[in-house]
Amino acid sequence: MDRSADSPAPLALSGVSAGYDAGKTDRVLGDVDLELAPGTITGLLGRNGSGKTTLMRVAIGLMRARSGTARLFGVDSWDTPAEVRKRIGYVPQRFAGFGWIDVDTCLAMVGGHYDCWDYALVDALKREWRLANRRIEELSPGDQQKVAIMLAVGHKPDLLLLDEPAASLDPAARRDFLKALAELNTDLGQTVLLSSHITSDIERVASHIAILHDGRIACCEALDEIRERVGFVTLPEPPPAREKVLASHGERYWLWDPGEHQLGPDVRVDKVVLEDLFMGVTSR
Amino acid sequence: MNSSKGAVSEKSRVARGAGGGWSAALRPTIGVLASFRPDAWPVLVVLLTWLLVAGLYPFFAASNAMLVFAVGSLGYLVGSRVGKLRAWSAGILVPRYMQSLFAVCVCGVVLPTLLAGLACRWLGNPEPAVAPAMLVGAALTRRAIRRPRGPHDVGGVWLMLVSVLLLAGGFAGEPPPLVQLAQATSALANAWIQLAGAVGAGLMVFSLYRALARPTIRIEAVVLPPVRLGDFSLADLRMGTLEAAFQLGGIVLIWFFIPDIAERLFVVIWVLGLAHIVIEWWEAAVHVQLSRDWIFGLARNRNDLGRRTAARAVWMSLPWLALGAGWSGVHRFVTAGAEAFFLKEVLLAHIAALLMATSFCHLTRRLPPSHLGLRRVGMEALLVLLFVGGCLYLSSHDYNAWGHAALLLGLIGAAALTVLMGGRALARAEVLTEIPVAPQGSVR
Repeated sequence: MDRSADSPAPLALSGVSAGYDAGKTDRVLGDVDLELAPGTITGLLGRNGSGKTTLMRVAIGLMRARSGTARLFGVDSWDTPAEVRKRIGYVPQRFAGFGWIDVDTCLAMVGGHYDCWDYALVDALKREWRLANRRIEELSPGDQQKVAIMLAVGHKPDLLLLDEPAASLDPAARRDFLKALAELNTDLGQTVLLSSHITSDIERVASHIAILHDGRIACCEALDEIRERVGFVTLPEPPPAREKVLASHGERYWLWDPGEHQLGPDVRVDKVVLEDLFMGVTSR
Repeated sequence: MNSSKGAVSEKSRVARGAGGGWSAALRPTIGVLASFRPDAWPVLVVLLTWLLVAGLYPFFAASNAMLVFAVGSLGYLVGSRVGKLRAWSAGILVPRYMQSLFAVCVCGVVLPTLLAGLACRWLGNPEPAVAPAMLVGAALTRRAIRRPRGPHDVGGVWLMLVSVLLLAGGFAGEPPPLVQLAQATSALANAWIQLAGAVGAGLMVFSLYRALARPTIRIEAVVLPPVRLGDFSLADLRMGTLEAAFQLGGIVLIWFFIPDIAERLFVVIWVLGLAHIVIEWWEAAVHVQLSRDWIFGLARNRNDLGRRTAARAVWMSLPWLALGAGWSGVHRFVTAGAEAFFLKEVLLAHIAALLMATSFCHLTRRLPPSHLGLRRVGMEALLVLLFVGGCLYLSSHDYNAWGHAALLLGLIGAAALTVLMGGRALARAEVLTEIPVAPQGSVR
């Protein structure tokens, strides 16, 4: 990915491995390298249990990497000072807020910790999503997720990590959320890491994709580049230039610059569908 | 959300958010304080119960022990709430979040102690035990913040409470069972004990700070799942045990200070206090039995299950009756000439225990109700308080028409609430969500 030479990357993982077993016998993340360029929206894709949540937790210092380094704005994520934490927003997969308090109180409480809390933005989101001021435990999972999103974006963070934020939202709310995300990215130049299983959502807002498979980042590219340069073909034999194969699944191949492969006149080159590419990358 | 809102946001940021100094320091703390919400009611009900019983007289005018005890209770209340807030998995990302919790902890212990100490002095207590009270409050806050990791923690809570009570006994001075201890500690009930208390409080506050405010704190490193023994959670036990211990402690102190009514009052409230310990086993047993009834098809539908629950609740409250009767017998044996209506009070205690047990089950949502609104909680808390008040009235006066009416009302109220809560508990009982649920009204 491109990176500004002056400022450190909002998020940079290098050789990160992590797991949950205290005996270190398991391995959720193997050897992850990932760097987010400022102002990009990166869609993180991966199968269930591939380690997307673990990657995010390591990235923001909620979990310690067994090896490798995770840095936020150039600072070790395990030891981030308040100044750096102020620049991060995080939406966990399941909202783990305080069930016994109402939405406004929760927003006020979290907002009180920031000197840059944007009450107008949060109010606008609340109105747009028609969120009632009820106790959080009484809200539907979708509405709870909306609260989590508001808590994560209220301080206009420079880096926003969203762990399947739209999974519980209805289509209308999902559309609103993606629109808000894109606007924030445009207005503020936020860097976003968005994990999701809904590839159409990723395609709608992301500028880059990263596919996590088998504990590693198996594919990390700019989406536009994939759209422009990668083609999908079905071949009985593997193409000779193996280094140009982005992904393969059986006789199906996703090739960089397919025009350079001398595939023959009867081979049809199709455009890439992200969902198919995901299947290809995660099937090998 | 769009660029046109940007200007508004900026303005709003300046107007409401960007203040520095005291404002910036206080806002998070106020925010955390604002999150203290009605589900602190169970503990408050406990505190109110014995505070109402005790009256303010011994607290302000005579008792350093009550000050120690009250601040300890308050410390636990604040700590348990802060413990919940701390468990927020994303909270670590919020700047100054832990520091805010720490500020709340310290304020929740130190300020009430100082205020109560001032009140004590104003009302005639020349040497209020401010420092020991602060020590106990901070210790209990610290203990409440840390989740239990095993049986030793539960034992530790008991030990702490016993030591608090012994200390309180030492301050109280007069009661014969503790007279020797009182003599031993009275020598320290002055500048030395204040100094020791102040040092201890300082250490405890430092320990609080280390627990909460260290920047390297990691949630997953300190929050462990509660140790479970089958269907029984030690975390629950700890909470219930503390509630019970507070009740018992309050009762013991009342017994010390108001000897005239101690004989009868003690039985009533002692049974109430015990209810909170037994309630844990009661609740676990009912849940287990409920799931069995449902899985094996003994209950034909939810209504039938409701009836069975209510019946079981009544059945399981009977040990209190036996306990009270046994105590009555012992009491009559050791104190010749005890009143003839003593057994009536035991009955009364049984009803009160039943009521308190079901109410606490309900209030703490261990048997989740279908809906728990503030008004309903308030009304039920009021019911409990009224009933306990009625019990106390009856236990300290001769029975008359009003007394019998209150007794009757209490009986009806207890029975109705038991049936109601038993039935409602089924609507969303956790155990039923874990097993296949038959359509409502169907025969399994």
